[in-house]
Amino acid sequence: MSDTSTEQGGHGHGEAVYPYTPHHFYGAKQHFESGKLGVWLFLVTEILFFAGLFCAYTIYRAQHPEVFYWAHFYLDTKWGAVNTIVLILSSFTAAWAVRNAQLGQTTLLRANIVVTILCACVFMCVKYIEYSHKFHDGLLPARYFAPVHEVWETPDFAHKHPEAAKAAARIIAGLDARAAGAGKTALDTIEARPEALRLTPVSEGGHDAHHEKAPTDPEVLAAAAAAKESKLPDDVWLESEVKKLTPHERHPLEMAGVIRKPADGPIAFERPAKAGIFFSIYFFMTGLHGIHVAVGIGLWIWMLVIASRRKFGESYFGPIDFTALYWHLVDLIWIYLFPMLYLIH
Amino acid sequence: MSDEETRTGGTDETSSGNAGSGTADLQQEDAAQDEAGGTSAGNPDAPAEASPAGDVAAGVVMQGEVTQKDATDGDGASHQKAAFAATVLGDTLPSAVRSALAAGAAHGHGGAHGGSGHGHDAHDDEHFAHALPMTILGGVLVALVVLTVLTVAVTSVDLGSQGNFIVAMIIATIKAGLVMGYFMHLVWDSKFNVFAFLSSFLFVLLFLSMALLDRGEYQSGIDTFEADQKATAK
Repeated sequence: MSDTSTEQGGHGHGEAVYPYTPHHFYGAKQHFESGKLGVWLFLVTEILFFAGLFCAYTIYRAQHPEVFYWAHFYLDTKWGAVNTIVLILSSFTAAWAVRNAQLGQTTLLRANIVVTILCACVFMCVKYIEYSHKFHDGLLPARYFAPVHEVWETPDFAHKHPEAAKAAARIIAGLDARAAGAGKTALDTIEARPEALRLTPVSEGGHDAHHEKAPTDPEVLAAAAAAKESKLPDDVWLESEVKKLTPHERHPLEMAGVIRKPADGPIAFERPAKAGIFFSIYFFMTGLHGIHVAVGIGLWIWMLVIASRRKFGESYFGPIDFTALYWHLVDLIWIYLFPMLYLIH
Repeated sequence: MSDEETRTGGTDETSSGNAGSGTADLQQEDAAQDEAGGTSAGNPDAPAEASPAGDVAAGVVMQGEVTQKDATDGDGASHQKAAFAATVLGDTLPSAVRSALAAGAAHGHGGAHGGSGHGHDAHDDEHFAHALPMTILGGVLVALVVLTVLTVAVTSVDLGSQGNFIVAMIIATIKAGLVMGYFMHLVWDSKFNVFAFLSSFLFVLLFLSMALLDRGEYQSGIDTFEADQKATAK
């Protein structure tokens, strides 16, 4: 008769709790703990999912640290920090929402879910701002990589290494003047490689900031004039110019892989080889993470719907708990992505 | 007799009392069986009941007998069998047998569903939620924000080419530990969940270290290839 009530956990004992524990569980607690183990195992697969990209980052940074130093000047640490704080805040409201569900505080639960969704949307908006800046600057993944501004023209580099930035501008102006003076095209210069500085960017249909803005700095103009006069061959001229640089000017450019002296060739003054790969890694890691945030927004919207339809309480709060676990994982991954991508020094 | 079936949380005293009266009933049933079986030790009590449900009653009576024996020995599977018999076969049984079974069932099995009715301990089936106190939630939030500010501040201090990265990773791991332990509730959770999650990091470490072992292996080959390409391009 009524003593076989295992399959109806809450029935006959006061309030009806939605949903009743399915018959294949011993009770509400086992139901919850099974779900929890399931979510933890899913999180394990998510960690391994991201591990592939973390591996790509690790290997590439170990092998080509100058690419990473060079590229980080193109990233805005401020937006990265904003995103980190926003996600931490959303993790807090998610954990609070779990507490609300456990205590049956429905209004507060809905409010916390709404705030979590809003924080996630702020994150996606900041991501959109960052990505659109990069697209505009020609910083695209793989073969579409064609930066409009050189690294010494970025505000971050000019702020951190002002002498090096000026020195680089001088040398480039000199190289430009020599190339123009000798009637050679960009491809004939010693930088005739895919990373060549004055190769027209693939994107923006021929827009080349370098040629468009003439240098106005008198120092730069003087250097350009002097370079044009010099009768030395290109590589000898470049080597003498680099030797004239002070350590303050030369060292940051070497760290960024701009000044390179390969063992079997002349000194080179250009972007580091395969510089675009940093942005491939950047876009894929942040993009995959962004997809996870978007999925999380969808999950939280679902939770918002059922928060009104179901009665959460101390024996039923699984859905909120599991969604919050996923959300904390998304936060965890960003906690690692932020220093790896934005705080390279 | 019939009200014994509906009792769910019988005490020992009551059940052994019923066991006593059950014995008397069983003796009657034995007599009825003997009569049905053809022996002459007649007992006028309910021969008609015994014959149509004869086989069923026989099986049940045997279980009832087992129950009676085990009532003094203690709990066991026999109680469950008795309960099963009572529930499955309940309506077909003569009330005498039903009471014997209910006695056996009530004795050991009454407590099985007691938890859902009246448990009040913290780890009960229906009261297992552990709500995080607001102080812990707020404290972890403040700690995470402070550590983020610290991470950014440390970048202005130069600690060598690898030093900055290592320090940033250590701070990130502390933040991760806080999120995992408190927000994700691992401090109070089953240790198996902790083990599963941490083992994933172990495998990631294995993955990365194995890949790093031969990271420089092919760089010379790449350099030669690219030098050849440049030479042919010129």
